[in-house]
Order: sequence, then C-alpha cells, then structure tokens
Amino acid sequence: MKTSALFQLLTMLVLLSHGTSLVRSAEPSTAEAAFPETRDRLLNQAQAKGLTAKEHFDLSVTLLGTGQYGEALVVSRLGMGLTQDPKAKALFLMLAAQCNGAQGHYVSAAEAALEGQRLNPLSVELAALRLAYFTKIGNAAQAKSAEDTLKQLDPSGQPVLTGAELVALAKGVIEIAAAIRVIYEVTHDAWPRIQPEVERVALRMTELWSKLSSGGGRTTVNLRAR
Amino acid sequence: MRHLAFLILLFGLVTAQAQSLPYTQRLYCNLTLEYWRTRPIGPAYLDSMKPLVAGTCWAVEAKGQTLLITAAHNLALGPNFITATPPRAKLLAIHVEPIVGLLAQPVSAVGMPLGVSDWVGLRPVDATVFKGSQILTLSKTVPKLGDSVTVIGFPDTAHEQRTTRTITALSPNNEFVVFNEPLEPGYSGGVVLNAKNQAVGVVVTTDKKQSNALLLSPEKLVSLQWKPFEQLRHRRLDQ
Repeated sequence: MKTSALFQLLTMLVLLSHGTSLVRSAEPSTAEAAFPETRDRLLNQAQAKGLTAKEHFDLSVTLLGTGQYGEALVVSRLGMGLTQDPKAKALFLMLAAQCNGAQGHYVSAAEAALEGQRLNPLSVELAALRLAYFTKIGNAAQAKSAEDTLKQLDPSGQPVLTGAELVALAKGVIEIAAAIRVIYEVTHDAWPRIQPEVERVALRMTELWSKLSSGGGRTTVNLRAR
Repeated sequence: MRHLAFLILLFGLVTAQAQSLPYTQRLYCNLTLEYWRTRPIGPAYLDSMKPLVAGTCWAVEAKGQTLLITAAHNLALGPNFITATPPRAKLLAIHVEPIVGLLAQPVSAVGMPLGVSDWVGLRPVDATVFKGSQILTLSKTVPKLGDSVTVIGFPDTAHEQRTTRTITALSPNNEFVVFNEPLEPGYSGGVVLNAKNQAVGVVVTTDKKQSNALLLSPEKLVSLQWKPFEQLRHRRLDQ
C-alpha cells in the first residue's frame, strides 16, 4: 500500500517534470469539492439522454480525482467506445492508465499507456506514464523505448512525424506543387490574372504550417487535457 | 515578389521537415536466459538472467516487399550471439521479446538468410512501423576498397547518430567489409550507406578492435526463409 502511494507520487512527479497539463486539468481538489454536484448533474443527464464522450471524460476525471478509481476506469472505457477520434481515445487511455496504476494494476496501466501512445505519438504525458509504469513492472525494453520517446518529444518540441502528421505533410507537399505551378505562371506575365490564386494558396499553406507546428492537428474534441 | 519569397521559404521549411525522418529505428530486446546451475555442495538449481539488448534496425524495400533489417544477434540469433555464462552454469533456454521503434511495436515474423549469417529480416505486427523511418533501397553495386561510407544507428543514444568510415578490407566473396575504425555497440544492426544514400550493408560487429558489416543485395532479401516469430520467441537449448 505504501509502495503504491509512493509510486503514484513518482508518477505525478514524472508528469509534472515534463510540463504536463493533465494533472492541472484534472484539478482533483476542485473536482473533489464539486464532485457530488457534478456527479449528480452528469447522472441526471445520462438518464435523460445518455452521456456523450466528453461527458464520460469529465465524469471519469471527476471520479479519478475523488479516488473512485474502479468507477473512473469503467466510465473511461465506456467513453472510449463513443468516439472515433484517435487522440480522444488516447485521452481515455491516459485516464485508464492512471486508474489502473492507482489500483496497483501496473501491467494494465502500462499497456493502456502504450496503447494510448500508439494513438497519439506526440503525447508527452503518455510517454511519461509509459516510462513510469514499465519501469515499475521491470520491462527494461519498454521502459527504454518510452524514455527515448520522451527525449524525442520533450527537448525542443519538435514533432515526431508519424501517422496523421505524415499525411498532413504529404498534403503540404501537394499544396507546394500547386504553388510551384503558380510561380511558373507568374514568371510568364500572368500576375494580374492569377494573383487571387497565389494569395489563396499562400493563405492555405500558412494555415497548414500553423497546424503542423502546433502539433499536427490536435483533436477537435474539446476535452480538458490536450 | 513577396509572395514568391514566402512560398520559397515555406517550401524549404517543409522539405527540411520531410528530410528529418530518421534513417533507422531503435530495437530493444528483453532476453530471459535460463540456466541450470550446479554448486560444489548441495543440489543444482534453476537460475535466470534478464539482460537488455539494444540495437538498431532499418526499413528497406526490395522487389516489392518492405521489411526491417537488423543484426541477428540483436534477437539472440546467429553465429555472433554469445552470452557470458556464469560459472558452473549451463544455458537451458532463451526467451526473446523484441520491440521496434518509439511506439514499441512487436515483431510478427523473422526472415532467416540461407546459411549461417548474422543478419535477419523482420516483419512488424503493425505496418505503421515503416512510417517511423525512411524506407531505403539497396544498392545494386558492391562498394570498393577505400570507399567512404556512412553508418547510421543508435549507439546508446535516444537520437539517431551517423558517422563516416572507410572500407579497409573486403572479403573475397563480397560477403562483408571491414571499417578503418571500430563502431560503438548500439550501431549493431545499423545501416551502411554509400555516397548515393543507398543501403549497402548491415553492421554486425561492433568490437573494440574491429567493426564489420555484411553486404546485402535484393537477391539476398528475396531468399529469406520466413518463420512466425512465435516459433523463435522461446528456444530450448537442452534438447
């Protein structure tokens, strides 16, 4: 029991040392104070129309913050089934990892963190959870892999190009090919005719680049944690 | 002109981002070595050690197939896999758990080369592994003595490293090359690139005195004998 509490503290420290917003976003003290009201409101909503994925997430965070880990885990699993967004699913898995870890189920916690990281390779929080839980269960290869991921993600904020980011990059290259065609036409005195097209492409590329540099199109589901 | 300069700048940034995709990926392997140990006095007993193997692997495309290449000893296979056996101990079994890349993807099949050779092909369970690094092509020509080559891998670092070596010896049958200077251990399984950025071989020896790489060709990749990884995960040596 003492070891479990110590490990939870270590996990928190790992998360905080990597600048996570998860612990803050969960706001356990606030959630605890508002829990009965929040729970009642959400349960009422559930009875009236069924909870959405975001409401499941909110309820699960509240339950986690008030120490009801088993219930929080059930709610996070239910919520995960309601969304198709991989990054939203990763957030539910982040919750599941912490719920399992808090109950001392470190193997399940580590597996949930890894599954979540595969859905969101850019999550520093999931990498920190992977490192903490795989270290705890003594899986050296997995712990080293998580440590490498943390080192890759953390120091400069440079994104690791995988999955969705690569697709975004490929789209960017296609856009640029269109831009090159425009440049070619510019050199052939067609500026007045094609100026609107040039400006449209430039604007689109600016948007695309902003998306890439801000983390490759994060989830559109407005959940609390990133 | 402003728009033109802006577009050229953006093109440069995006292409630089594309090139930042690494050439290789980290490969870690949890080994469990089971020993039967005897004592001068008293009964024999079972013992185990759990060393971690760290190496490098890389993706290659040849004749329509994409696979990962690494040194066989990274998976406790091949002629170069030698364990330090404790005194009065006999190795009974080896259990192997390899994972590839930052997302720790497991392996589904292992391609064994014909004959005894210290390299293997790997097929990951999840094909997204191939998005974690560039997919290289194999050179059709053999490097020559004195050629300068680039070796890329993870010598106990989280970030990919590259170094340049000169080929100082070439085996008579063009099977392997020797480098002018040794490589650090984590380069095992790393890729050797020629001046055209084409893969010519895989690093298999990272000894303190001398480092070698086996030369690969598309034909060698095609002739791999594939086995489900489950058949190699646990190997008993006492039968």
